[in-house]
Amino acid sequence: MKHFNKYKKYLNKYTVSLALMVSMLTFPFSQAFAYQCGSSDNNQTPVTTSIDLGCTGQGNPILDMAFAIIRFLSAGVGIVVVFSTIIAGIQYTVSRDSPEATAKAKGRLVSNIIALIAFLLAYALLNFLVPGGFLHG
Amino acid sequence: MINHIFTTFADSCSFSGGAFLTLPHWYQYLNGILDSHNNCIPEVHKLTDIWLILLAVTEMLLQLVAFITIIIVIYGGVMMLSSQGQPDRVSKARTTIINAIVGMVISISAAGLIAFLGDQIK
Repeated sequence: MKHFNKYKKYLNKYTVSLALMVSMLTFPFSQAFAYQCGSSDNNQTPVTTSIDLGCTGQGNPILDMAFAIIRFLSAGVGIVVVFSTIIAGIQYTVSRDSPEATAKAKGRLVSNIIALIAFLLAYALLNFLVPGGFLHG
Repeated sequence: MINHIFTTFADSCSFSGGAFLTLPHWYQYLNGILDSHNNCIPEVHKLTDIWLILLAVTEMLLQLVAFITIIIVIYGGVMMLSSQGQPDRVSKARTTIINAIVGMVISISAAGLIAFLGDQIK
């Protein structure tokens, strides 16, 4: 415990998320699979990945990968907002009778709603700007 | 309905027992294969599998919300029982219980609200 207290100051959200990202990169992804982003038409070089990013395998490799990542992120917005709202609810529950703790939970809830509205607007804008509705591709 | 949105993703490696309380495994919604000891080895080669892991963690949190709410409501009830009719202590206990229930309603309605929104968008 003594040794743990010494290193406790390094246990903040930045180091924890960094450690999570590094451990995800070293996750034993199967090497037997190869996924292709972009096609080899028009003298372009397709990009091969060992993780399935969700590419369609057509058109420009960079655009294909970018759209795949946009699809990936917009699929996760709902889950992340539910996660954060549940944490806000737990904060509200354990606030007992202190108004400050209740205000913190309310602040988190309002932030979640703002984030959801911002995502919906951005999604609508992207669907409006990009022809063809590739976002479901 | 909340059960429904969390079970539509279940595919292979169906689980029976081995979980702590009724919490799901973190790899509950991933595809997987059984090894010789009947353990499930989850397969991860899609980027969107990250969301399935987060989904399992969210389901664990939803169950923890219920546990925490019960504990806080009992705590508020004991406060109210031992208040001996003093108005400030009674009102404190009442606020505790109301906050606990409001928090539970926020958490549970979040899952339903997002499921509704997701259906509207898709």
